Amino acid sequence: MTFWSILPEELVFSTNNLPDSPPLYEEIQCNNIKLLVEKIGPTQCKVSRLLTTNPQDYLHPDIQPGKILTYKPIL
Amino acid sequence: MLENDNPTIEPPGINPENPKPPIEHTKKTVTARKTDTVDNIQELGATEIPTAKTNIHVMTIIGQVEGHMILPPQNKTTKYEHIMPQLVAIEQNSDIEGLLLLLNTVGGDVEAGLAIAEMIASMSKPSVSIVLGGGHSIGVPIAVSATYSYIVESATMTIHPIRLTGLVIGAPSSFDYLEKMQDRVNKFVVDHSNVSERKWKELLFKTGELSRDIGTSVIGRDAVSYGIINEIGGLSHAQTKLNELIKIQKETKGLKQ
Repeated sequence: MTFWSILPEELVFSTNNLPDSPPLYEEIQCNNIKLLVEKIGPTQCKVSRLLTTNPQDYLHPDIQPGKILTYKPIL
Repeated sequence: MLENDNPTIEPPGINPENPKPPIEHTKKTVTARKTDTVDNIQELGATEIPTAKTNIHVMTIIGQVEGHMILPPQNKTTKYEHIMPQLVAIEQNSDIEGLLLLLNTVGGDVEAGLAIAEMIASMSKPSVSIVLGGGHSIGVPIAVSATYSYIVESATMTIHPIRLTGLVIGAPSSFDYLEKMQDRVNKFVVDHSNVSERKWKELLFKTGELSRDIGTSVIGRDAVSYGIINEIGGLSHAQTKLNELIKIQKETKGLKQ
């Protein structure tokens, strides 16, 4: 990998000043929309980012970034 | 609307003696929606009302372009394994007619960035890019890869060489290797924009402008005058241009058939 950025390398690759338990991110599929979520418990997660190219998906009220989602078992 | 005993704090426009009309109004919209859904189930077999369709999809390239290596968590990244399949899907889906690319990137993995740029450049569907905030380093080839590129007046693009200290995983970064890498980037930018090779190299190796590095920080209007970006403009310009390109694409397709 060749790194080419205006940010200094030491800033990008530094592992200092990291929180003890960095947030755990996970990619999930919700209503056919791929989401990047932050796990906040065994059954809950917080929407962090939408990984979709359809601009209309970003208007969906249930998956706005910051929304808490609850995992439910599929029966 | 709840019944209110105190008429003095009644919202304006509502008769305190007859507060019923708003209730009827809400009821109406609820029933209207219900029939819509019922119609949908009866006619289309679908329980959900189809949402607004869009023929233009949008892709944001923000933070670091992340490629072969996962960057430490303090970095905000755009991963190329997300972008590449999305581009394939956009190319394949017949409902999608154009791609809008929003760029605000500080650079990143050269090969991942070039891969994204080549993918966008080789799409058959028209694409328009807008550089917002900053499109630095590897952001430049991605910005020019679109069919037509815009930059907002306040945005900057830092044009600087791939550094000798550039991290090459697995092999010590030899000058020769980086020069070849630089040549690939130079060729891509010159081929996909109106900038001349001479001007591009002049911007790339200019000294005295950047404190940490050699190179140039090009602001909105300058990027257009050097020929790197097509035009100054924001969202509405890009949207209009994209619709125009889609129209042209449709017409030429019609002639071919």
